[in-house]
Amino acid sequence: MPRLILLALTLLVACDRHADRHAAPRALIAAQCAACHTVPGVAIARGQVGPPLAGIARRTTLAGRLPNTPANMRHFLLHPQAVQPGGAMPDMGLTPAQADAIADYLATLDEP
Amino acid sequence: MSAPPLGYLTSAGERAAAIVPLTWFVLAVSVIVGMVVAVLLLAAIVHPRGRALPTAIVAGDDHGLAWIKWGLVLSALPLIVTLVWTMAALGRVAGPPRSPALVLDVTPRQYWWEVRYDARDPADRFVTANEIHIATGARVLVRLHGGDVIHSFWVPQLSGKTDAIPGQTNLTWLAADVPGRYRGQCAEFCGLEHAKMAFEVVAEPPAAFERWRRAQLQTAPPPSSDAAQRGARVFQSHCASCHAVRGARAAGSTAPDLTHLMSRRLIAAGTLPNTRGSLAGWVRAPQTSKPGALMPDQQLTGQQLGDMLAYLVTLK
Ligand code: HEC
Ligand SMILES: [Cu+2]
Repeated sequence: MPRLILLALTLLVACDRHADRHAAPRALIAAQCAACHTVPGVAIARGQVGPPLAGIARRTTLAGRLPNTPANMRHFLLHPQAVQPGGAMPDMGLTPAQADAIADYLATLDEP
Repeated sequence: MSAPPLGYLTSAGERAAAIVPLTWFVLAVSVIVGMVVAVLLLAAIVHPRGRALPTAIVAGDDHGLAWIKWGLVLSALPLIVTLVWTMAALGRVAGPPRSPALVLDVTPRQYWWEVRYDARDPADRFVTANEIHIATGARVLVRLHGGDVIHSFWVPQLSGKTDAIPGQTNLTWLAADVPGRYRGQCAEFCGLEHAKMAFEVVAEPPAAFERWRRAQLQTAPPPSSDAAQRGARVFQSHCASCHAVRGARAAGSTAPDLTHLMSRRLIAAGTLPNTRGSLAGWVRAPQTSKPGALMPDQQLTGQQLGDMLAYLVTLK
């Protein structure tokens, strides 16, 4: 029994770590992306203007034209209007560090 | 842990200060009474008195009547204290201040708050929405005008609830001792988006308040960049029938005044943070963020949406 409790505690702490690592991008997503996208792990992100981002890590193509690589994801987040002129997603004014953090988080969303 | 946004167990102004200790008292009495009843009940379950009839217990020689007498006295005492205290608190908070430092005309609408700052000189009056600024230490009279349906104005840390009833003007007041942002909430069910009908009261030192007030009196500057100019044209064709922007050809009065939109921390009555991303999503599809809100989804192309953003961010 004590061992079980220990195991549970370790798992809990592990979960917490996991949550912590992505706390910053999740807060960013809540502030900047939530009104348009539904994003797993961000409760208030229930928007339906753009595509839902569940499973985005496994999608092959970004914005209908770019191969879904980490570099392209970062590029798209920084300059959506350059990739897709006249698309509904406006340039968000993210810093490169913010784009990296968000791209990192999106890369974990592999469940459709 | 951060403080709860609607912290009704703490006060930040003289009005709430008169109510909050009473709230604690009533809460404590209720908890104690609940525990006493639970203990007596448990005791009765653990030590049942056999099959004796209740009347026999009461009239018998084991002090049944005494229990009842003491029970009455013990429950009457806190009730009398609560009554007297409530009267005293009401006396302190109910009457609006005689010479308020500021007078606001607030009209709650389905699902947002229109706020007019009154002044003797018409040039000092202006309209805003969803974010009320006041100076610390000032007593602020709020005239609550009933509009569409019944709403209730509530800023727990500053004041109790006051209903706004169609066809009627109710008076209430606010005062804050401590600078800060205090969340307010509609407290009377008013329709689909009642839960997302919040606002903020920003209490700031008199000098900062005066700066804010002067800024709010300004009209919107004409947009300078090409994108913002295109955005302003889209605004006139798509938005101006509902929204006003003072200084532009937009004088709608059925939706929040957007002249100083960017000075607010939240949009859509506390629904979303006021960021580029939320503004874009809100303008394109308010019905997904706040289904039932009285702003329809706007069929804008990506280009128009980008131009609109360029324009909205000039509304400082
Ligand atoms: C049919 C009337 C109507 C039209 C047209 C309309 N709106 Fe609105 N708008 C509203 C209402 C009503 C609200 C308040 C919604 C709420 O919070 O429940 C609102 C809220 C807003 C807000 C949030 C304001 C705040 O302070 O919280 C913004 C920004 C906004 N609208 C922008 C626009 C733009 C830009 C357009 C044009 C593309 C537009 N609206 C067209 C009725 C309208
Ligand atoms: Cu309501």
